[in-house]
Amino acid sequence: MKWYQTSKPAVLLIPALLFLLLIVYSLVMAFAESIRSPEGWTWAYYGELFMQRRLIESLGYSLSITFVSVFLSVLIGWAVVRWFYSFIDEPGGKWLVWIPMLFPHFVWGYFVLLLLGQSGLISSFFYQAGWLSSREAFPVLTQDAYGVGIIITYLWKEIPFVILMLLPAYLQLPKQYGEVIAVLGGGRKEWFKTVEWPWVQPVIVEITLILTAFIFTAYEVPALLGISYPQMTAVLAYDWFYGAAWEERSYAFGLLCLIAFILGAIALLSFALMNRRRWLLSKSSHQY
Amino acid sequence: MSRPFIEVDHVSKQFKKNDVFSNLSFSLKEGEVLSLVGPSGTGKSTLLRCLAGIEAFTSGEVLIEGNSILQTAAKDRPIGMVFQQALLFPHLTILENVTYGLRLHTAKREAVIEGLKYLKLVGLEDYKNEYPHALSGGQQQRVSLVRALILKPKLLLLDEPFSSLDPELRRELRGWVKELLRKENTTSIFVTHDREEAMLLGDRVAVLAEGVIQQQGRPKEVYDHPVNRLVARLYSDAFVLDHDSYCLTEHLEWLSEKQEGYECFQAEWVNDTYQHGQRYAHIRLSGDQGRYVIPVPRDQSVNTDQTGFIGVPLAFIKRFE
Repeated sequence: MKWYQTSKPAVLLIPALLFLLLIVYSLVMAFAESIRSPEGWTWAYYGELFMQRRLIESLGYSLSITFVSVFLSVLIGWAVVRWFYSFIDEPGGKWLVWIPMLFPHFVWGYFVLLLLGQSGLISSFFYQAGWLSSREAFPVLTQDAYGVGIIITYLWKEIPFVILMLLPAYLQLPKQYGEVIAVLGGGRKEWFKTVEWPWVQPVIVEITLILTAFIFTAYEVPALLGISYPQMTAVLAYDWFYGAAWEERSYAFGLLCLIAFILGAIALLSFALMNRRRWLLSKSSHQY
Repeated sequence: MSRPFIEVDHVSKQFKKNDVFSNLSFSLKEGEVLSLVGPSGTGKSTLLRCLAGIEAFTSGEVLIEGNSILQTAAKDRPIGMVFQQALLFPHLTILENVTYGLRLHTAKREAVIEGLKYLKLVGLEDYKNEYPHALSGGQQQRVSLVRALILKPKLLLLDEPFSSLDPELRRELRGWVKELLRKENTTSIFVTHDREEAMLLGDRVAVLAEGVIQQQGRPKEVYDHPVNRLVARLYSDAFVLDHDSYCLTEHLEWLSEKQEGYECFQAEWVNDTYQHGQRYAHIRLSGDQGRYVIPVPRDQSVNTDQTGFIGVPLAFIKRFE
């Protein structure tokens, strides 16, 4: 029993560590597959990867969709929390935010397709109402070249996520510092600069990282709402993985390994840069 | 006669239609320290918050050098405030904390020079690049005081700044604060529920209870001549005989039987303690009508739990005025 008491934290970590082991194993195996050829170990696939025009187009398409989705999700979610957090903290407000969170991305994507497609509910309604001459006159919002449908689906799903992530940060802002700032001669600008931003920034960075990693590498939504060319990277990797050509499977592994490495490096760097300030903020003497 | 430096005139504060305090009036001369003493929940902190502009008075007027300040936003009032907690910004260095207010109106270079001067004044210049968590509670409160003082406010409000510190640190810090306020000639209102602190820091004291200022005056004057039962209980060491009269406990005696020349109250000797060589008896009035501490001769022999009388010498009975 005594052993259990002293080793309790380590014991409780075991499931998480086992799960992590699975991820590390997958990464190592994927990397191994990306540098293995019938002739032995090689970096050739990485070299050839960027010669693929399909990939270059895909990266541009994925990056732009990811950037727009993440930027707008964070911006809108942040604005909603900033101005309405006391309402969202009420049960009614929380439910409103929670509803889109309850549905998987794929279901929500399908819902967007049914709603905003040219033969969807809205276009049908407009057509029936006589506002459209034909359903085809409805703008192409899904399975379009600019990824509008994908972006709408992500915004619909991720804005509530941003709100729910930021809500605790806003509820726990040390409001006493607002009084300190006021008696020292500061106003809203100083409150934002000295308190709000330092307290909220780590959460915003975390949300941005999570959303970027998720949107850039997710398969279901772009597979459902995207077009056949260009494709988002995850869809391309899937095609390569199940394609007829053997070397394309190695491209898929190489591409995903590269993405994992870049996102992992950005995450590590961000945490390293933010850790000191986070630690300092945790030493605050304010009382909630 | 010249106008007072600070005039607080019939200020009231209501919260949800209940009076927090009403019709408070007092004034301060330049450089004067007023101790505001009273039990918890009587609106002392609320009064300071209203003066600082963090909350609004329901009615009344506040003048500084003859000018009304109530229409001025908190950030523009010439008033500084030190809170119960030091509330230093945890992610700013000590120097950045000290110069925070100054930096809003002054160039960085001048602010830093001034900040270093003040840090030196309070013996904390070696900590200028440290973060607040590296300082003790007392040191943090000093920095907090300097952060307010550096702005040279016309009125400094101190809201129980020592309440979160241990007793030894409190004793050390209050002498230091008094000295600093005097050196800077800062007009201040010091809120406390500790009457010893109120006496030590205040040139004058005001006793706030039940939402009104019960009495104000020089510390000894209020101590020796409480005007009512509340002041007698909260600020003075007085034995209250009835609604109209009292006797300072220093004149009380422990009597084993009733004597002439005394008004006697049956009581029980609970215990005795010593302080600075003086023996004090802890007495409980019969019927549990209150406990008193009275000075007694060291050689007076009494057993614990012995019943006897608190003797109030008739010559020392005074009337509340």
